[in-house]
Amino acid sequence: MTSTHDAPAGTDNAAHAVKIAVSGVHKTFSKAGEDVHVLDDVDLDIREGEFLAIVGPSGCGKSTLLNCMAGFETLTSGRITIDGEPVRKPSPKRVFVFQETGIFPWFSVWDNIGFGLGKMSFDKKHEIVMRYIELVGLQGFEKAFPAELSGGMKQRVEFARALAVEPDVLYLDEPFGALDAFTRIEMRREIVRIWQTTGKTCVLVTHDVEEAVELADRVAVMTRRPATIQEVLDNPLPRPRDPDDRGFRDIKERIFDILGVERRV
Amino acid sequence: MTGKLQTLLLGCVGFGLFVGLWWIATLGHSVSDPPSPPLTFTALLEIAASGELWSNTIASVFRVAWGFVLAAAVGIPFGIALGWYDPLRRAFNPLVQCLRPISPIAWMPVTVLVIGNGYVLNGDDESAIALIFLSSFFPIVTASNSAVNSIDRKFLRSSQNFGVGGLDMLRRVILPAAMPQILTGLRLALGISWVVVVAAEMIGVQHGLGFQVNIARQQLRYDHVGAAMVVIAVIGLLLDSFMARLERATLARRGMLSR
Repeated sequence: MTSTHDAPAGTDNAAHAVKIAVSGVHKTFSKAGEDVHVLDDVDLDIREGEFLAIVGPSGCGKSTLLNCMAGFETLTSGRITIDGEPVRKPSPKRVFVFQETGIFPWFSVWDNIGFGLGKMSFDKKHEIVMRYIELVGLQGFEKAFPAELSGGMKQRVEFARALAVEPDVLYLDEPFGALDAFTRIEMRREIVRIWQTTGKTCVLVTHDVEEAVELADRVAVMTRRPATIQEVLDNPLPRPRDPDDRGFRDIKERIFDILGVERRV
Repeated sequence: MTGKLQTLLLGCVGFGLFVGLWWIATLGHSVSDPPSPPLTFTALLEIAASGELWSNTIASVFRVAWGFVLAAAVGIPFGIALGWYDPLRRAFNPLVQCLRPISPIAWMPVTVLVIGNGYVLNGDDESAIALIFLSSFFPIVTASNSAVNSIDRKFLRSSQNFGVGGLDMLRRVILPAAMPQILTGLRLALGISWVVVVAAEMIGVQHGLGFQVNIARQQLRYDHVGAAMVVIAVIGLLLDSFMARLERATLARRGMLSR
């Protein structure tokens, strides 16, 4: 089902080793005695260092798939491996960035970013925390509490907290959903910059087709029934990307086609 | 007019109206009638000067402090455990919810019988402390339980994701996340305690503000009853504003004060 042909332009030339392998995944929830098939035979390979977006309508199971990849949910059947190791439980090697900010309101920016660092000397911790505060451009706010920050700044703290533990994989579950339109554009640019600087494998889940095409190397299109990956599109557009470009519009058009959505109002 | 001054002045309107009506309704009353504001005020000075006021106030506050602190010390951990372990909640929450609506006053015969002349302190103090314990324990357990139970899942998942579990998670995530709701429960419980202690002191005890009310009634000194009621109101207000301050300070420290 994956369209793993030749190297798409725009990705670095490192071998396209498979980082995350999802094969034959089924997930069934029991609700009020009735089985709901949320994921129905999902196959997907995610390559080392790529930015992959999973796009689909609300309730299609894309967040569930991401939760399974993170180890928050167990599979009904099938297999998910990262670097060949089956995913059994959450791990700091793959960090989840939440829909609404998941940073802790009772901790300062500094404490939030240092949350996952474990026991180490204060000096060492301070050095790491300050490095990531700088990476996301929050110098001077290390003592501030989340309630004093804007939505975009909270999102930056969340990215810094995730990056500070040096994960291989970042899972982004509609991370920009709660932001206003202008901040969203700024944060998309920011996440691309972070991804390019750090070379992490990024998996983004979104219902915003434009966001997916703006950010990702490849876009996996997920449909509701059956709840599975319909198609994986390569997105070779060079960065920075402009949604008004011809090529951009073509990819968007194709995704809407696959989803069977008439997008003109 | 500034907001603060306006609030203060409007607050005085209620008091002024109340004292005015009270005054009119009790014009010409003697000390064996429902007392007028001036009689009450004179009585207040009397019991303050004789020292009764202080010893009774201390007795009541002492009982509330012990009962409340013990209830918090047992109730918070128990409530958190109920909120965290689903089997424990299913085993004990129905019982807690069943015992909770029983008025603490209904427990009084039982506590008096069980405690008798007392074990460590005297019987008066111990049975009052036991009643305060019972009246604060259930609201505290219920608040702590629901506080933990309703913690946003993304906080728990974040914690797991960063490899923070067990006691570390309790200290760094569960307690701070549950704290606002637990504090609200404590404030509620302290308010109930203060109401209950006065009632508990009406029967069989020799000290306390409830005793003061009761003895004054027996002596037909209704001005002293009124004075004791004023003191009860003022201390109740002080206790509540102390808890409110604690609540605000905790929330303000993390910038979570909702305005």
